[in-house]
Amino acid sequence: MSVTDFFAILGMPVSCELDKAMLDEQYHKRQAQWHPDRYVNASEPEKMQALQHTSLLNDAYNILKNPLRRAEHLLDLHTCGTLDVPPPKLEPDFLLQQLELREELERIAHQHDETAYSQLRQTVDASLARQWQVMAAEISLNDWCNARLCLQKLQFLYKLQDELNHLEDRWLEN
Amino acid sequence: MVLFTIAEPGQGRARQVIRRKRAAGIDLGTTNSLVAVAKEGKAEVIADVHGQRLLPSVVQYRADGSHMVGEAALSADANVSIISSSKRLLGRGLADIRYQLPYALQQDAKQGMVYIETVAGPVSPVQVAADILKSLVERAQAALGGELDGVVITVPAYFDEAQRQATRAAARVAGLNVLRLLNEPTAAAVAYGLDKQLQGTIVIYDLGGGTFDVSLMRLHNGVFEVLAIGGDSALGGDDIDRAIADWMLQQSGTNGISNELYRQLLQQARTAKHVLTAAQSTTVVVGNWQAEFTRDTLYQLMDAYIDTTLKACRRVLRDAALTVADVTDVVLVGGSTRSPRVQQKVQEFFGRLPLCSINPDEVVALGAALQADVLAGNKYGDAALLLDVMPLSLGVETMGGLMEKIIPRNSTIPLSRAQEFTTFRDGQSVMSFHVYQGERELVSDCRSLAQFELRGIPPMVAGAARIRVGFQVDADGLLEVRAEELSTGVKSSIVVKPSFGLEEHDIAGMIKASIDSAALDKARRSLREKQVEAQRHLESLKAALRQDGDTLLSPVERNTLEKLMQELAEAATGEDAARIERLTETLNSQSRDFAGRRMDAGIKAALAGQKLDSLGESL
Repeated sequence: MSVTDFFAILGMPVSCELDKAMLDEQYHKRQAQWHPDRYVNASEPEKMQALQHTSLLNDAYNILKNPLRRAEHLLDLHTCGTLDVPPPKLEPDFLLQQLELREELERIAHQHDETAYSQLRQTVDASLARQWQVMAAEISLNDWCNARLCLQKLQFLYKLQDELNHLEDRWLEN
Repeated sequence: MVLFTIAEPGQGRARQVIRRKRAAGIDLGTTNSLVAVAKEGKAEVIADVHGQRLLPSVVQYRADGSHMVGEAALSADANVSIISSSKRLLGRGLADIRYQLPYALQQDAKQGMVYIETVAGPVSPVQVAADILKSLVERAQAALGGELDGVVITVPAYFDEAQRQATRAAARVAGLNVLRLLNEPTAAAVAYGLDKQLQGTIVIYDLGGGTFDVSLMRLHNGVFEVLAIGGDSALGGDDIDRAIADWMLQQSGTNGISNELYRQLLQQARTAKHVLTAAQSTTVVVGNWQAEFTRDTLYQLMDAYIDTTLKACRRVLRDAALTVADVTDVVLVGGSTRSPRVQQKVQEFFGRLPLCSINPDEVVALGAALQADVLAGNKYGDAALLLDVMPLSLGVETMGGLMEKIIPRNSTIPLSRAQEFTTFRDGQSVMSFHVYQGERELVSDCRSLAQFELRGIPPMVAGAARIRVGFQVDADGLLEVRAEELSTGVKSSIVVKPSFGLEEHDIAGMIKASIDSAALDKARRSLREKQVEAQRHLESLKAALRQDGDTLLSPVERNTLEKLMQELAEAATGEDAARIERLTETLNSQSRDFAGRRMDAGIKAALAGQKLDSLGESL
C-alpha cells in the first residue's frame, strides 16, 4: 500500500520536529495558488482539480501541524503502513500507571476537585514532554519498532489530555 | 462576457472590450438587510431612493397575493400579515422554534418544514428571504446600471447545512447567481483587513438580531484564515426584545394576548432597548399599565444572554488552543453590539477595548461586496485569500444510534474525507446511510441532513464488504456524500446533497409563483397609477368648471363633460385598469376644447391686465 507523502505535498522536510512558521508559509503559498476562489473563471475540470488539490493541502496541513498525527504519518511513511514484526506490547507498568491516572480523573470529575485537576494536568503534560523526547531519540536511531511503541504511549496520553479538556468544558458549561 | 467588439477599419480581427462584472454583497439579516457593491477596491452600501441604507427584513403579504418589503411593510391594516425575523425559521423544523413569534406556524407533515400562516396562505421562510433578496437586488441593479452577474450572500458562521441550503434556495427563487455563501464574521474581517489593514490574531464578535457568531481568525499578508468558529444560530437582539416584552407582560399581569399585540409589544421593547443606550430609564406601557423600565433592569435581562456568548468565546479560544493573551484585537459586528452593556462585558472578557470603527450594521455587507468583486472575476493575483472552516462536525449514524464523526468542526474547507464501513449481516445487499451534523454523541441530539441507500452490494459474509463513504465539502461549505463498495471491484456510488425538507419541485413552484406574483404586483402598481392619474384629472377639471364652466361652455357641452366625469369617477374606485385608462383618454379629448377656450380667455385677461399695468406705468 502506498502512502501519500504529506511532507512532500507541503514542501517540508520529513522530520518529527517542524518549523511552524515555515509550515504556515508553505501552506499559504500553495493555497494562494490553488484555492477555488482563484479559479472562478476556469473550466470545470480545472475547478475540480483546484477543489481536489486544496482538499489535499488542507488534509496535509492538518496532519503536519498536529504533533501526534505528524509522528503517525512519519512512521507510516518509513514503514509503508506495515511492519514485518507485530507491534510490540506496552509494558504492564505503563498500563497500570494509565489506569491509575484515569481513576484519578474520574475522582476529580466526581468531586469537582479543581486543585487536583491542575495537578493531574501538569503530570500529563510532563509525561507527554518526556515521551516526545524518547520518540525523537528512537526516530533519530531509525528504530521504527520502538518508535511505534512510543507512539502508542503518546496516543494514551493525548487521549487522557482530551478527556481533561472535556471535563473542563463541562465545568465551563455549568 | 463580451459587451461589444470594435473592429478597426481594414483590420479583420476584432478587439474585445471586456465589461466589468456586476457583483454585489448581500447581508441577509434577521432584523435588517443590506446590499453593498465594490468599486475600485472600495465598497459602499447602496441606499434606496429615500436614502435608507438598512432594509428592515420584514415582508407584508396581502390577501390578493401581492407583497411589500421593508419599511413599507411595517404599516399594518386589517387584511395583511407582517412577517419579521423569519431568518430564524430558515431551514428549521417546528421543533426548533422554542419561543413565541408574532405569527402562527404550521409544519408540512411530509417534509418537516415550517410554513408561516398568512392571509395569502402558507408562506415558506425561503419565500420571505427571496422577497427580501429581490428588493435588495433592485437597489444594486439601479446603482450598477444592469442585471447582476453574481452575488455573495452572507450567512451566520454557525448556520448548519440545512440553513445554508435554505439560503441558497431563497437565492434561486429570487433568480440570483450565488458566487459564494460567506460567513458573516469572515466578511467583517475582510472589510477590516482590507480597509483598515488589520493584522494579527483577531476575534470577531458578531451579535446580530437573531444570531450570534464568534470567529477567531489570523490575518496575515492578505491571507484571512479562520482558526475556529462558534456561536448560536438562535441567539440575538430579538431574544432581548422578547425578554423585555415578557417582563412587561409579567409585571403588568397580562396574559393571553393576540399576535398583533405581541408584535406591538416587541416593537415597544426594541425602542425601549435603544433609548436606554443613552438614557437611564424610559416608560413602558401595556394597556392601562405603565412603568419605568430602567437600565439596571435591562442589564439584568441581558446578562444571561451575554454570558452565553462569552462561553462560546471561551470555547473557540480552546478549540484553537489559544488564550485571551494571544488575541491582538477584538472586532464588534452586528447591531446588538451597539449596546454599552455588550461592549463593557466583551471588553472585560478580552481585557482590551474592542474595535468598532466600521459601522457594525454595515461591515458584513461591505466585506461581502469586496469578496463578490473578487469572485465575479474582477480582481486577480493580489486578491485576499479566505480560508474558512466548517462550523459543525459532520458524520454518519452507526449501530446503536451513535454519531460517527467523519469531519470534525473547525476543519478548513474545501476538504474531502473518507471512512470505510462494513456490512452487519451475511448476504446484506443494501446499506443505508444517515448523515448528521452536530457535536453530540447520539444522533438523536444532532441534526439530520440526508439519508440515502447503497444498493446492489454483492452477497458476502458479514464484515467482508468494504464500503467507502466519502465526504466532499466545497469552498461554500456545501456537502456531497458518496458511498461505494470496494472489495469486489463493483462500484456503485450515490451523490446526495442534504435537503432541508424542501424538494426540488417546491423550489420550482416558488420560482413560478414569484414570477406570477411579480406580474400581479406590477399590475397592481399600474392600476394604482391609473387611479391616481384619473383622480388628478377629475380634480383639475372640477376646479376649471367651477371657475369658467358657466361662461365658456354651453349647457349641452357642460352636461356631456359632467356625465363623462361621473363615469370616470365611478370607474376609478374599481379595479378595471383598462376602463379607467379608456375613460381618462375620452375625457381628455372631450375637455380639450374647453381647455383651449380657457387658455384663450386667460391670455386675453393677461393682456388686458398688461394694458392696465402699462397704462399705470405711463401715467
